[in-house]
Amino acid sequence: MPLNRQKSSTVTQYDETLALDGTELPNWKQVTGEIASRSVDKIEQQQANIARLLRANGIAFSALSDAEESSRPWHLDLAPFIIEPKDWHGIKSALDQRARLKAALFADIYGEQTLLKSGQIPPAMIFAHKGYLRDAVNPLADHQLPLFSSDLARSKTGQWYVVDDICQYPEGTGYTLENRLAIAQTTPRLFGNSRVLRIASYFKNIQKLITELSASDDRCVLLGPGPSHPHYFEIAYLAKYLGYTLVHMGDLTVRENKVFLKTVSGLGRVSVIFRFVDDTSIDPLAIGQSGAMGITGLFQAVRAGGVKVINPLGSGVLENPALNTQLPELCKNLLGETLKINGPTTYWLGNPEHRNFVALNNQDLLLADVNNPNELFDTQHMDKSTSAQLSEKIDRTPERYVAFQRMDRSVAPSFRGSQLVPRKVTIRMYVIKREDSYDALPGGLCLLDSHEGGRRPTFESGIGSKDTWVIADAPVKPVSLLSSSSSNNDFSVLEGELPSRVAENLFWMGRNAERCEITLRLIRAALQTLQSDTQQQSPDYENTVLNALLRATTKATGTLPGFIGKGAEKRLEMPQKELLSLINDSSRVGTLPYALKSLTKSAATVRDRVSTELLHVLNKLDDTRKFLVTQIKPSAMPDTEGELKPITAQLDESLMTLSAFTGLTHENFVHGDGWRFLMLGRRLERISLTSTIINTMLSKQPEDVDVLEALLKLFDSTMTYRSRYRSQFNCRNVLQLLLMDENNPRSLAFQFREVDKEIALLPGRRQVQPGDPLSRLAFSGLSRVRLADTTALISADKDARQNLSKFLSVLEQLPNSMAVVLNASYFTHVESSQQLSDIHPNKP
Amino acid sequence: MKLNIRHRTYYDYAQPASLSNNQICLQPRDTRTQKCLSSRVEINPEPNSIQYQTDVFGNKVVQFDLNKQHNDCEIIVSSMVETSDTLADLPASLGQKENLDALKQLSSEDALMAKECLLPSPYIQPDQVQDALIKEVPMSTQSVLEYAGELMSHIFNTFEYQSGFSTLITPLSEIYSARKGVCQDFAHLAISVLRRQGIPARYVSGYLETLPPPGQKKLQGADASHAWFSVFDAVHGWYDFDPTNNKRPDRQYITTAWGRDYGDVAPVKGVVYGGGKHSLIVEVDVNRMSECVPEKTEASAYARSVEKL
Repeated sequence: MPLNRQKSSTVTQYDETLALDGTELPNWKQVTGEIASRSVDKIEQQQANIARLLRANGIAFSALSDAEESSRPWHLDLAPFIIEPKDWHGIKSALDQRARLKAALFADIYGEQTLLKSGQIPPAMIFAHKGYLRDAVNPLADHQLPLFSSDLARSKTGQWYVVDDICQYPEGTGYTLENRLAIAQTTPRLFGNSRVLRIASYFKNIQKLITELSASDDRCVLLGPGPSHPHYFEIAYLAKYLGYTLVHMGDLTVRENKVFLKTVSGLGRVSVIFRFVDDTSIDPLAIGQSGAMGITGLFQAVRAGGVKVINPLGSGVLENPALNTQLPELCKNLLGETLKINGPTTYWLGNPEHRNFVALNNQDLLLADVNNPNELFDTQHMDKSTSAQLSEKIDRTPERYVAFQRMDRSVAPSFRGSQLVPRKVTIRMYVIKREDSYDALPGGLCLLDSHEGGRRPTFESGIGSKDTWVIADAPVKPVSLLSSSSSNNDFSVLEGELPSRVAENLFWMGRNAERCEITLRLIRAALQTLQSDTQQQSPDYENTVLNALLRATTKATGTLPGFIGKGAEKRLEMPQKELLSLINDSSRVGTLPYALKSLTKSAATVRDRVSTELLHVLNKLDDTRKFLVTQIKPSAMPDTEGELKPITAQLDESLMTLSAFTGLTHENFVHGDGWRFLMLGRRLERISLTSTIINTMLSKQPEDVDVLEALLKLFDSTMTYRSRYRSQFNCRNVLQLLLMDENNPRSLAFQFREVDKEIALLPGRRQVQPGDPLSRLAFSGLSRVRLADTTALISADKDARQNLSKFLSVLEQLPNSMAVVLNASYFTHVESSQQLSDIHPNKP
Repeated sequence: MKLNIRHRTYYDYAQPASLSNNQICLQPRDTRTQKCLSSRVEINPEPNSIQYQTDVFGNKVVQFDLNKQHNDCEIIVSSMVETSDTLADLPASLGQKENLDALKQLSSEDALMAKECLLPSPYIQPDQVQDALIKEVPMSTQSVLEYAGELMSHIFNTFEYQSGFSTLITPLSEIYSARKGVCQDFAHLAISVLRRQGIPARYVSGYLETLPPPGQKKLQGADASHAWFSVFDAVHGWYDFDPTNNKRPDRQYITTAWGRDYGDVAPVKGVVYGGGKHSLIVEVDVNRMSECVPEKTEASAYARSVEKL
């Protein structure tokens, strides 16, 4: 396939694949040439493979977006971005210099402030930036800057320049890692033969850095945003890769100037926080920060030496693009070097001369707020009122604005379908401090976009990314990225630290999985009954069994009125509409898609702890949910068998996927504390739902053979029954099997026995008192089923009949009581916080 | 003159609280015209940790946490301050532009803060209010300190003090249009105008001694925190103005802290875990010590007065 070099006259950007003299660069030629020579089929298949790998790793996992299909999967281009060896030496040393320079500024801004006092940095430039955190100023402390990253791009003339510095945390490193793994797996030969520098060293250096900073045995945590954050998946992936517990702000607490992680076994000291959250709303006690969210007292803990934060609090001030105006001079004065790389020519409007210049030359310039440099204002293409508003803002707070020279970016060949077309690129590069200099990650995150005039393609707006290959001068020693990982992906749960929040989510994941399964089974059974050929059955077979199933469905899913409450009679006669709603209405609590959504939601919040395979299963379940919601239309619900088939087939398949989920949680999960909470959730939910279903189905005709058969089938116990009793179905035996048979994994007795066993193994249970509420509840359930007398339960006596119902009602409620106790003992370190009232000076 | 200040803050929780992290900024600082002779912080129940530190503006800040279950929290700060009996006359100062030019040449801590106090701050964001007020108090040839004095009088004369009119989030535009507010609003308003005019201005929080009407006894706990503003003259430094009382703060004023605005020097801040609903009681007493008693008796009288309260 020919390489499509669309060099139309309008394309004036720098072409990454060409040298200045117009000749093709050797490595670009080799790599892109090889990829372009593949057949269209092969290219498509490889792109599909990349998509699959990314999805399997969870990057494309989108279950948490509340708007149905809003979150776009991460797109990775098959063709890598190439950095030629010679270019790399320049970039590397320019980044090192820039990091050293910014580190020197950091130390001064939060230390003695000599540069501010002397005016080498205009004070207003720092004071007007939101990243300047007054609580981080401490002349006595040693202010280091361990990590630094910049977005780089290339001008028309081939000059590298800095689009933005990213100083708070290395956003995008998780994507960089995933991209590399996916590309190396998809084109192993090309990757292997191309002398690509390996990126694992950067991540090892992070681990080393953190180890050096941590005190003896204390833990390091990776502090990330909540699951609704667009970068959550990347960060969770990185946490898993580096082997640090992923925590949210609410998991941490400050006591006596030390930071602790709330775990199921109590508070655990944290000595290093590797943060991926902004520091501008991290501690409500800090100046300019408020509310009740955050890690209250964090600044104080840092100041007192109780914890180290990477990157340190306040480092965001270095992102101020206005600093570009001072860097050449500062570089000379502080480092004695000539600045090697800077942003586009920048004007700071806080400087009256610059402001005058900008007023006269605005046609070549783009304006930006220093606190939000992503958004660029082009005064040439602005309507009058927006323009007037902007001028007014600039007039009142000129120090908050900068103007940039318009810059273009270079282009690199990228796939559109199976065609290579030129796309604009920006590359995020990362460095980490080692001794007195900074080591670069040889590679980076190459972002593609089609924006005109804009500067920084945000991850979400971008049209994709590329793996960045830095080509070495000499052959490289292969280092596996995976071997450097301290946690192996194949184990589902990182043992050791179990934050209370994670335990709670695992517990709910178990409950939700069970809820999904039972809901699926009930709906499928109802549909099958509806489809079955009624002619061969006794005339009221359908009614008896179907009605029993339908009522149980309403009861178990809590979707009242449904087939029980007001209007039930009518719905029982024509159940299709209600069933359809249970299958495709995600907005209604208790429906199948609702249950599936709850499951993927609870799973997403613990995704750093579940294995790749399990994620894959969860992705599939999410696909099912999407299918149900979007594809099942009212017209799919006529009475005819043929039409119903796709639905039942889908339900069958989902049931298989759920079984895979169950299997994986058993076989592929370390049976530790996390697993225990998951299983407890599962068992308790099963107890509750099983009791409800038996109670509902047997409430009317307890001896109806067809109903009994349906019940056994629902719980997958028909075979067991036949092998055990070899007899006609009778209620006594059915109850024996479903309630009391401790060897039947579907029975209540089995669940209670397991619950009792697991509870004894929960953290901190060794020294519990005999009367402890959790053990008491578990034991009361177990003894209740063990001591039950089936004959008495089903005695024809009317009063005794109520016995079964009462008996089951008690069991139905027991799991909720246990959940309350579990919540109080393990999950509610997660207590809600509030801000205390202020004192308002009001002296007359 | 020596003054005793007792500031009691009391949080009462409806339900037990398991943890609270707090910060107070209530201890008087030393200034050109005031010396903090003693200051003691008492917290009940006893905090698990307490940290005394100085913030970026040189204010005394105390942070503490209570991590055992507690139902209430009482913070009492008792201080003794000696204020200068004489109020120096305002010096002849520079005009706005000369003042700014002179400030640029300065590299002291004070000057750095002055540069910071030229900019908007979280509670003092620029909008049309400043332009409107500037029309009412135009700038011509006044020196910066003269202008500050005019602005102070203008706010005093054209705004009405109304206790409880505003909250911490009432925007200045609302204060302006209602022409009502409390001391903090007036200080913020003046500062916003001064900054817009290119005059460095900061927020000062503290106390003011109030004397009962002749023949009446002073009510206990009836005093309150007070706030005013201060202006930077590049030659002579910072000068205070109280727009609520149209008065340059004298020996009856006690300064606890200063910052860009209220947010930098909030007297108390805290986050509590659990606790349910809570109520807050604040009692402030500012009492002058009898000026002729010898030092020793003064101290014990001070101790007694603390006990009595």
